[in-house]
Order: sequence, then C-alpha cells, then structure tokens
Amino acid sequence: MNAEHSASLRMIAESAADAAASFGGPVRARRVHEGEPVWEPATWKAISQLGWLAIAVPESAGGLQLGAPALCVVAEEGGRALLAPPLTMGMAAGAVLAEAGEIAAPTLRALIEGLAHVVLVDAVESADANLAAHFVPDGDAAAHWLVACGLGHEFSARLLDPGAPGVALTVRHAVDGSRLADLHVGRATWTDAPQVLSGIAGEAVWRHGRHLAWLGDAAYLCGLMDAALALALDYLRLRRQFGVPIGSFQALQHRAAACHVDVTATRALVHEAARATSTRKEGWAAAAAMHRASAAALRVTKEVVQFHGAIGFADEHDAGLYLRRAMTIGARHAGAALAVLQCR
Amino acid sequence: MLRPESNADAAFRNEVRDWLATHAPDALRHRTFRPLPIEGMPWYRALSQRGWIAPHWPRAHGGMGASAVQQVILMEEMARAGTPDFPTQGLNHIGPLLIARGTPAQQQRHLPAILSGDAIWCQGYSEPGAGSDLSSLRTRAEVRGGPDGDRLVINGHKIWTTWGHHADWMFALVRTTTAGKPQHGITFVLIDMKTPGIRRRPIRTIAGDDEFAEVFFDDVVVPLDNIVGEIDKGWQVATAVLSEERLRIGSPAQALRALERLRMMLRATPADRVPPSVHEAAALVEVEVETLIAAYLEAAEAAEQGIAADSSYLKLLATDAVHQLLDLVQRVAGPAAALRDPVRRGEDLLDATEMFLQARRLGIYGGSSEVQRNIIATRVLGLPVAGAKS
Repeated sequence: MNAEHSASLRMIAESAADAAASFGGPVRARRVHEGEPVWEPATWKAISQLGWLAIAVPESAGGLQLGAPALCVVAEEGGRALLAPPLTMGMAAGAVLAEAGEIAAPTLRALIEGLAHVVLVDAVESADANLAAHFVPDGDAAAHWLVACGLGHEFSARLLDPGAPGVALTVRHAVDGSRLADLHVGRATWTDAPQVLSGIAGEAVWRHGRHLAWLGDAAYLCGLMDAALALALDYLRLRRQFGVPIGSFQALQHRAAACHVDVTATRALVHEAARATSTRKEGWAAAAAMHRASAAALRVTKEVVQFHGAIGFADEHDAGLYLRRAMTIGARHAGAALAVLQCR
Repeated sequence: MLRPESNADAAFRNEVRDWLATHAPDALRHRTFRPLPIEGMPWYRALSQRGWIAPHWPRAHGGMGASAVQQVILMEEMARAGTPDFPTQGLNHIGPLLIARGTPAQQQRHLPAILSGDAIWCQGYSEPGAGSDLSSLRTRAEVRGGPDGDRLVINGHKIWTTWGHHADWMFALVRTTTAGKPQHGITFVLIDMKTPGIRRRPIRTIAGDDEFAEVFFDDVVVPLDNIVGEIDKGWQVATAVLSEERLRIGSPAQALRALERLRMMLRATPADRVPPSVHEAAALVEVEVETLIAAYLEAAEAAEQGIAADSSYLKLLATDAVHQLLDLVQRVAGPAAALRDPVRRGEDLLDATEMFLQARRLGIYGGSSEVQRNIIATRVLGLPVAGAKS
C-alpha cells in the first residue's frame, strides 16, 4: 500500500510541477509584488481544469476525492513556483462547501468550475453586535465569502456576498504585494444570509477545512523553501570571492546543510501529517505541520537572503520574493502554534 | 507516530506492549547506560527468542523483516517501557554489512551469534591520529607466511572503541598498503578479541560510564579468511551499507527515550514551579519528535522500495531533537538540574544530568555533526569542496 501511495502521489506531483511553473514563477510573483492582483479569471479557470480545486471534494459532490496527501503534493508544487493565486484556500473551501448542503451547491460548482474564488473566514462578534474579520488573505478576490462565527452549539457559517449592502470591505497590502481584506458585516445582513453549516456538526466540518488549509499552506511553504534554497545553492556555486566559489567556505556550507535538514525534515512531517487526516490526530498533526513549516520557511528564506549578500537585499533579486511570501503565508496561520499547545 | 495504524499494526503494538510489561526486567528499566553484559545480555537473549532483536534484518538471515512502521512501534513501546540500550555494533553495523558483503562462510559463522547474543561486537575505526579524517588511519596489517599459510599480522592502536572492553569480536579498518590515495590500501577485517597480542583499556566518559575503550595490537595474527571483500579495498566495504547505517544511527529511538525522560520529569515537578515558557517549549518539542519519526519513516520506506533517498541528514536531525529534549529536562528540573544521580520515584526515573551528559556523544560518534554537514554540503547539495581546484 505504501508503494502504491507514493507512486500515485509522485505522478500527481510531476504533472502539478509543470502546471504550477506555467501559472507561477518568480516573474509572476514579482508582478504581484508590483501591484497586480493575485487572482485573475483565466488562470483560475485553467487551474480548475486541472481538477485542483476539486481535489479534496468527494466524488459524490463532483470532486476528485484524492484527499489531503494529494492536496499537499499539489500545494507543494505551487509553493515551489511561488504561485500567487489562492490555491490552498480554494482547495480547502471546496472541501467545506461540499459538506455544506444544497444551499451551498451552486457556490461549490462555481468554485470547482473555476468561475469564482471562495474564502473561508473566521469572524468575531464586535461590541455593537456586528461581525468583523481581519486580515482575510485575498479576500477582495472572492466572489463568495463563507463566514463562520460562534462556538459549539452556537456555531454558524453563512454565505455572504461581499458586494451586498451591509457588508463593508477594506483592503490593505501584505508584504508580498497580495492583499488582506478586513470585513465588517451588519447584524441584519448576517442574520439574513443563508446559513449553510451550524452547531457541533457544522463546526467539525469547519475545523476540517481549517486543517486542510494548514496542511496545504505548510506544503506550499515546503516547496517555496526548497526552491529558495536551490536559488541560493546556485549562487554559492557560482559567486567567487577570494579567488574561490563562496560555496567552498565551510561557514556557508554548514549553514546550507542546516537549511537542507530543515527543508527535508519539514517536508516529511507535512506529508506524514496529511496521512493523519480523519483520525483523532488530524488537528494536532495539521497544526504541527503548519507551525514547523512557517518557522522553517522563515529560517531558510532569511538565510537565502544572507547567502546572496548585497544582491539578496536588493529588491531586483528574487531572494526577497521568497522571504516576503514566506512571511505572508506564515502570518496567515499564526493560530497554528496555539493549536499545537492546545489540541494534544 | 502520526501515521494511522492498520489493524495488524495496532495488534502488533498491543502485543509488544503486553509482552514488555511482563518480560522487561524492572531492574533494567530506564537505565541511561547499557547494562554490563552479565546483566543486560539475558534481556537481549529474551528479545532474541521472542524474534524481535533484529527488526530491520531480512527474514532470510534470521531478522524480523519488519516494516518501517513496525520498527517505529517497537521503538516507541521500548521507550515507554524504559528498556535499556543494547550493544548495537553487531545488529546495526557488521550484521547488515556481512549480509551485503560477507562470504557465505562469514555469514554462517557470525550472523547467528549476533542474533543470539553469543557474540558482542565492537568497531575498530578511530585511532589517536585518525578521527574525522578516518582514511589517515595507520594501524598496520602485513601479510606474512605462517606454518599454515598466509595470515595478517596487525600492529597499532584503536581508540574510542564503543564497548571495546566487552566485545568478543571487532570489525576493523587496517592499513595494508601505504602508497597511493589514503582511501586505497585499507583492508576490512574481523578480529577475534581473544587473539594473543590484544590489550584493552576502558575509557570513562564525561557521563561517568565506561562507554568506550582503547585497544592495542601487538603482532596480532588474523587468518586471511577474516578479510571482508578484497585486501586493500576495505574502504569500499566499510561504506557499502552507509545509507542503511545512516538509517540506524538517525532513528528516533534515542529521541523517544529522551522524550520519556522529559515526561517523567514533568510528571514529578509541580506545574507552578515550571515557567510557562518551559511548558510551552516542552509541548512544542513534540513537534520535533514527530518530525524525526516522519523523516525516518520516509527514508526507511524509500529504502524498502529500493528508491534512492537522502538519509544523510537524519543523524543531524536526531541529534538536534535529543539535545533539545534533554535541554528541556534540565530546565524543568530547576534546582535539581545539578543532581548527579537519578532519583527513582515509583516507576519513573528522574534524571537531570546522566542522559544529558551521555547525549553529548551523539554529535561526535559515527561521524561528527560537522563531518555530517560537510558531507551534505558537498555530496548532497553539490557545493564545491574546499581547497579543490575549480
């Protein structure tokens, strides 16, 4: 079973690598850095045609039902290519929408057919009984918002149209050029919105979606730091000072080796954690994977800048693209560290 | 282990747990140091008779042929039960090496004795002048004629030989030719430690045990049949099962033992005497243990499937995890962190310093962490070798 498991994932990875490179790459990432939106219809449509947005959706709901391990393999290739479109969020949203009943079915269809982006949002009730959510990644690109509020029996998730009256959206820039949306929803708008998940059962679906998002972005960071390290290794072999390639200096060799340990080990953890979905360890495993991946990605991409010296500090060089993207993705899941402490 | 267990694996775990609960001797539980042969080898033999002494050996050679998952289950359950470390040079080094490179006669003579515990092995690699730079070794072996034909005559000095003073046999690298590249002219040889001319002296470690020894050779006569592979080509023999050895030396076994120490120390220490940051670090360090297990499973399963995988980083990862865990044991222990001798409390062992000091060896033996990083940098990452013309 293990041989089969790894062989089919290797096939998915190979095709995903080519596709991700064609949709992504440092040149595209730089355009986002310079102000272009992360989401545009043609690329999203093309991504959907590969089935990626339906990867964690059950077959009964029109999906591929390939599970978290395949989701991670695709996300990892996305990260390797610095893919800007919100792939992980799309994949996780698909899994949640598929469990959200008939009302959500058209939204799920729009997502997996590549016609729209959907974000999952955790909102909190403010003092004036309105709802607020902050730092929603690429929220401005979403045609539909699935917003959750409340705990346990009070849990409720509703579909919101961000353009509807009573919904206010403000946008700020993340350090990689992508956008973070702040959302304010009036009480009346919230209670009028269709509820698609509720109570204990709905909360479990929501949690599972969050775990998939952690796993996907953890895998994305694995691909990202692997690509960043490869960039640095090329430079260490090429750049000469004192008459020799700087990569022959043991001080740098040992730090490059430490990065390699970090990348390889984190990747192993993420893929192992993906196999623990739907077991009682799912939550801790996904949180652990995300926690380690964001910490490792920061360690590695900071080193990658340092390995390049002054040119790494220059905006024109790609090293900074990797660091800023790692900062953005890591910040998105700051809650994972807390979950590691709470859920075992 | 995060991996969901199949029904068969879960049954195996229960079987191991139950068996250890009734068979592992209380006096040997949570020992930091390997028990001396007279105390420890009966336990080795008990495990051997149960069929669990060599999980990673193929069945054809008397091993368990266990899957990577089963190997981790054994490590986890043994750590939980606190069973002691064994002499591992036979099971982890010369055994797999003879399976790969030994003659049928060498295999028949030595493998059963390793499995049964009748022969304890040591590794004769390091010398006073040859540590990280192993190929500079100078212990000489000359082929000389004797009354019954040719044999090797060995003169020299090995050091840092783990359990050299307890071993029945040594596998050693000796110099048979001095011309040419240093890696050339080294021969891999099996030496019966009862042979006249061998003197050994135990060496105490900073942890207080006699973990290793130095061994002197004075005209020690060894039959040519004891050479593994060809004469002068021992370097290739010694490195033939390197990736297998890297799996063993980078396994999560020690980290799981250290995690158990941390848990015991946490159980014994009132929560309000431990700073919140230490509680937090103790929870987060479990991520490192699971990372190591995941990395081990990945490398071991790749090996099972015959896929080339990088296992050279496992030892660094394992060493780092053990060191983090034992640093935390010290921080949890508070004022007890200076206590030399462990304290038994019920079934638990509160040890702040023994394993901490013992674990310094992990970054040194079997290729120091610095050598490991050199190897990764040049052979895995393709960085230029220092001093090489380019």
